[in-house]
Amino acid sequence: MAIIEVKDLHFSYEENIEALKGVSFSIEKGSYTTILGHNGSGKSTIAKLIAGLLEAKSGEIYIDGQKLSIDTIADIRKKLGIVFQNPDNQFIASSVREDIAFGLENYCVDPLKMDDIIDKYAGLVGMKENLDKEPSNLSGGQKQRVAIAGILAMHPSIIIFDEATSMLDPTGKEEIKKIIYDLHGDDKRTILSITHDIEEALKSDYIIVMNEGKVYKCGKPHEIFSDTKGLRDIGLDIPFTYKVKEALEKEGIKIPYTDTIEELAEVLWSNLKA
Amino acid sequence: MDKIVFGKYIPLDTPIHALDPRAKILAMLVVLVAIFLPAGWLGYLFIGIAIGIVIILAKIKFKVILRAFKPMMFMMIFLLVINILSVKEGTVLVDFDIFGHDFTIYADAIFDTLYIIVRLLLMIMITTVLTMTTKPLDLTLGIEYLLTPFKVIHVPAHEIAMMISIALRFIPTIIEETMRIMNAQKSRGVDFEEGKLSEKISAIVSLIVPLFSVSLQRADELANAMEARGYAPDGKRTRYRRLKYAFRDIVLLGGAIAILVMMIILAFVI
Ligand SMILES: Nc1ncnc2c1ncn2[C@@H]1O[C@H](COP(=O)(O)OP(=O)(O)O)[C@@H](O)[C@H]1O
Ligand SMILES: [Mg+2]
Repeated sequence: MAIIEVKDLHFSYEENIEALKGVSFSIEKGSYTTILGHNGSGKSTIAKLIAGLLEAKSGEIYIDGQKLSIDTIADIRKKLGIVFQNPDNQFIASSVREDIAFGLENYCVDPLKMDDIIDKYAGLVGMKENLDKEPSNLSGGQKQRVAIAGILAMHPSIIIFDEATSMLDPTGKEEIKKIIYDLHGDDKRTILSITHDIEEALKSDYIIVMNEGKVYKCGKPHEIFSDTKGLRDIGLDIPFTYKVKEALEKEGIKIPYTDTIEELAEVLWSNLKA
Repeated sequence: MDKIVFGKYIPLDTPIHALDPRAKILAMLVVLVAIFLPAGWLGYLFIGIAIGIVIILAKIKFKVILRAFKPMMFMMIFLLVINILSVKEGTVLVDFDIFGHDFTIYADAIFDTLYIIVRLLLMIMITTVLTMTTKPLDLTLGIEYLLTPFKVIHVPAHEIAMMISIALRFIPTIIEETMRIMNAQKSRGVDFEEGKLSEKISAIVSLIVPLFSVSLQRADELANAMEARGYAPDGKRTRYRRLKYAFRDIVLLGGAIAILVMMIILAFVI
């Protein structure tokens, strides 16, 4: 069942320049979907439209069967969390504790219950020891973890990550990626991750490739990445294992598609043995 | 950095820190009014002692208070000069001749200046004590609570408090950003310390323009993040942090009102 359905979305920031030129796709409930695309291809615009932060010029968005409109937006926002790119610009309050409480306050949660909720979700992202820290004393990765905790506290069934790891150092990136995988794996949440990380895309269930405000292609990872030429033409990178397969094919050696280096090594080894 | 934050909150476990922020703000306002009354030296001595006791209770070092006075130094000297030049009353203190011009300093000039300075210093002391013993967030929450009754006359209490708390939250971030841009511009040869006025102005512009554009972007992203998390300024919300008056808050307010009454008596009755 599709939990997010987008039909023929058009959007412009400035008159006569369309940032989205008719975008349609649907996302399955419980899936891990990645959106790839060069800078300026319209990925963040899509995320903001889905989260109801921008209003489409035309087209429709359905979340969990509900059509997104002024009347349903409050309802839909409860089902959907979004983590943005810049860790600093989504840390609203002056301490970890207060920041997680921010969303709870907006949804009128009983203040007496807040401490337990805060403890629980800070614990889930490994921030329980830092509840009273100020944002200026936290690393980028820690701030992103707080953002995730704040969102989890609202029990959304969909979480959108808009390049949430791109401003982090390698350790921070790994921490956040692990949390995202756990959210998908353990909790069966629908994840929509906008990313430049092809390894992440390769592991996802479904990929949407954006190019210049349009969907270039949607599909399972091997369907997307086997089109190496097309992806290069729109300025996207190819996963390492696909590059190796492509290079071997040029030499006349055929191997099946592989997703990880381990799989690739195994395939090559068995080819060598044969 | 130290200069900017002389009134910065210092977490300590004292009875003054434990007071309700609303009580502290109200007490401050009451005493500020008291300071504005023409109660004379005796009155100011009394207020000074009262504030001194609070400072001792709050375990604030007097050195820190002195540091808070520093930025006012220039203004005080300026005030003195103006008064010396304009006040021509009272006993003559000095009378001399410069290049044929008669130059006299009257006692009242010095007196009037001191009178204003003492009041200013008392005011700085009170506000410093308040900000040093109260978490910024508690202060804004206190302001919000105190402004809430004025909602009937359309004072946007919550919006004001939210604005202040976001400003407080982003001050360190923006200072950090300023340093970063300054360093970037320095490495491109922009000189912030020396050079002609025109060079200095262009250096400042090279700082302010990127700082503005980054801050606007920040504001935009922050607004998105807040909205995505269900925030609506006029919407109904609960509050995580609750304020509760205790007995000590009544003592503080009682003390502040007693001071005000005393100053009224000193100023208008005696
Ligand atoms: N606030 C804005 N005002 C004007 N144009 C914008 C704004 N945000 C994005 N754009 C433009 O819209 C297009 C799509 O942007 P965006 O969705 O942010 O792309 P992506 O996230 O894929 O990098 C780009 O051409 C960008 O320049
Ligand atoms: Mg983007």
